[in-house]
Amino acid sequence: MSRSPRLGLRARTTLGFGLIGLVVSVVLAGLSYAVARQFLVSEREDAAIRQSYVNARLVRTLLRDPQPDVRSFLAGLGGGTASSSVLRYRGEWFSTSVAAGRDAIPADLLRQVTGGHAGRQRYRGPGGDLHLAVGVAVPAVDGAYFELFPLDELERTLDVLTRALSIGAAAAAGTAALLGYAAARQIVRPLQPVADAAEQIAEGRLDTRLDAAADPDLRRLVDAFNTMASSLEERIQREARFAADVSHEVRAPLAALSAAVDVIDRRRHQLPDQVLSAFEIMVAKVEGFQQMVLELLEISRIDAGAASLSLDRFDLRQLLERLIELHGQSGVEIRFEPGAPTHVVADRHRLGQALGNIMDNARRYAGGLVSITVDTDGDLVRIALDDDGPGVAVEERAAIFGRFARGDAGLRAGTTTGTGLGLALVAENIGMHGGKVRVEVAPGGGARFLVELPQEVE
Amino acid sequence: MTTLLLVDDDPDLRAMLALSLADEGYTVVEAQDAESALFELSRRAIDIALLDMRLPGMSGLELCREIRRRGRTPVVAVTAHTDSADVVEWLDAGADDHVSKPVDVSELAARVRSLLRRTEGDLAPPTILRVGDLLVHLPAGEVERAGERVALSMVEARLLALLGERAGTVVGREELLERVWGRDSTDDLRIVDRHVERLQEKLAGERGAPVIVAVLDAGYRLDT
Repeated sequence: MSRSPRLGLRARTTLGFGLIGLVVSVVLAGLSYAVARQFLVSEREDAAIRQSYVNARLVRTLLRDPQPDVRSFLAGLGGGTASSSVLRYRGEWFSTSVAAGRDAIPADLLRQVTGGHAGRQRYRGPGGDLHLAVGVAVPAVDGAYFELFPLDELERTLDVLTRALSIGAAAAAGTAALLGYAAARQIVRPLQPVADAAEQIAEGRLDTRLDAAADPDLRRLVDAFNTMASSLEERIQREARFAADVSHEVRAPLAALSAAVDVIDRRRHQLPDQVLSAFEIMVAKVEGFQQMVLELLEISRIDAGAASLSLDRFDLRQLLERLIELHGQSGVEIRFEPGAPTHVVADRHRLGQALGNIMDNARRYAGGLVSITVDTDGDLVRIALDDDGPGVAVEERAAIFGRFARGDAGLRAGTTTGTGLGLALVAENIGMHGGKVRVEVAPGGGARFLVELPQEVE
Repeated sequence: MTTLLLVDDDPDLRAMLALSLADEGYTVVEAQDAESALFELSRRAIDIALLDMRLPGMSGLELCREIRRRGRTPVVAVTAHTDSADVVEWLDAGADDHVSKPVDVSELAARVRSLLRRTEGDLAPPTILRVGDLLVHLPAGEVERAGERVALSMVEARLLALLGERAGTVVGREELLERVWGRDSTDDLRIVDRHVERLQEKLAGERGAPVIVAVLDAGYRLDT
């Protein structure tokens, strides 16, 4: 029970693989970088220090000369490297480069070397470039030799390395995510036929089964699914058979009873008055009972899935006009809005029964319909049946379509009218078409029964 | 006097229906199963057979097919279900019409009356309608081609006559339902479709026979 919507299996696997790939490749790239940097930097520094010491020794030799030509000597140092040399000799500063003079030497290093020690320090020049300064004291001649090495090349190398490693890490993470996606797809793919089969069963094709020779890893699932489908099919067939049997067994005595009542009805003038009033009740009750049984049988057939639609394309106005006549309505205005279809595809008998029940209902509780409006809304055909009765209270609007449910109006009219199943059967019949029925307030204040049918009934 | 054959295995229902139908002015012959029904059919003239589905031994449907094989006696199926599948089964077996149980006797009487309308029309002057190569004798509804009778059921003959009267124009399915079967136009139209289909099949074998065309959203038209 998760409160937030969970990610799907595929998304989760992809994300997990990606994350693991990312962590592993970042750690590996970081280690590679650290090792490479350590190696490159120390090698460069070692070389710089070696060169500085060699040069410092040369400086000492030179300065032993009573009249040294410091400037040209310094210019000869360095052996073609990009380093610059700075020399302090008897309080005077000499440099091979205009850019790198005394000021360029870091203060700490200067102090250290002045104190008679050798030292090295990395620093950033005024342009932000990384440099290495190496200082060697030459106490024998009261001098100090500094050599400044630009490290920007090393920095560029490290930059390129960083970029290459980052791209590598990202690519590795991406590849891992792709792998995860592919793996999850592989896992989910055999479930596709299961999902398809379940959908087909839901659509009513009860004989759908899965191929038992499919993936051996899914054997249990396939077997369980097929067993479930079989027992579902069997159960629905059993219910349908039962509904048919009940239908026959109940209709037979009812048929004899109603035929017998009919025989007496034709001879009612022979009945004494006391018997006649009892017979009147019998006629009404048998009629109501018969109606209720037929509706109940029809509902149970629909419930059992044994009822089928017999689709036909027909003229809707013609049906409505005839229904109005049959169900004792008068002065009903039929209006087809522009764009409303004149012909519909539906089970004519079931639609007629549903619309007729709504008309009977209107006659019973609201004095009949006043108008019928046919409209279209996208894929739907809408039939609005309006009366100008008292309407249906908001809290009863859903309930009146329930079985044996009676609205307030129904209770007030007493139990002698209606079977309590009429509107439930309306909902079932419209539902079989994939449509809906609901009750609203008519523009005139009465009740509006709104029947919505799909234009394309499947 | 019109004679009806009432076949049902429930003696009570049979007795009550027979009484009511007698009130409507029909002579009713009762049979409790297919065998006795066939016996009665061979023994006397029956105008219409009313058949129940569930009979001991041979079923109502099989009996219906047998009656069709033997002749033109119109058959009204008394079906236990209102389901369209059952109705189609009956129509395929050759039933001309159907009513559902419990039977409303006045409805059943109306069905019977419209199937037998030819007797009411006996007073009208007989006419012969020429439809292509076919001669339709009205109001009896017998069809003849080059002196030979064509095996059409009475309902089929009446359909042909109605379409033939207005050959070249479309007749609505609802109108056919009302005029041939005397049924309400809100009833299932497939009874019309099934019978027209069968008529089409029978006519397709005849050279120079008229063709019945289904016109979408309108009905059927006979082209000669």
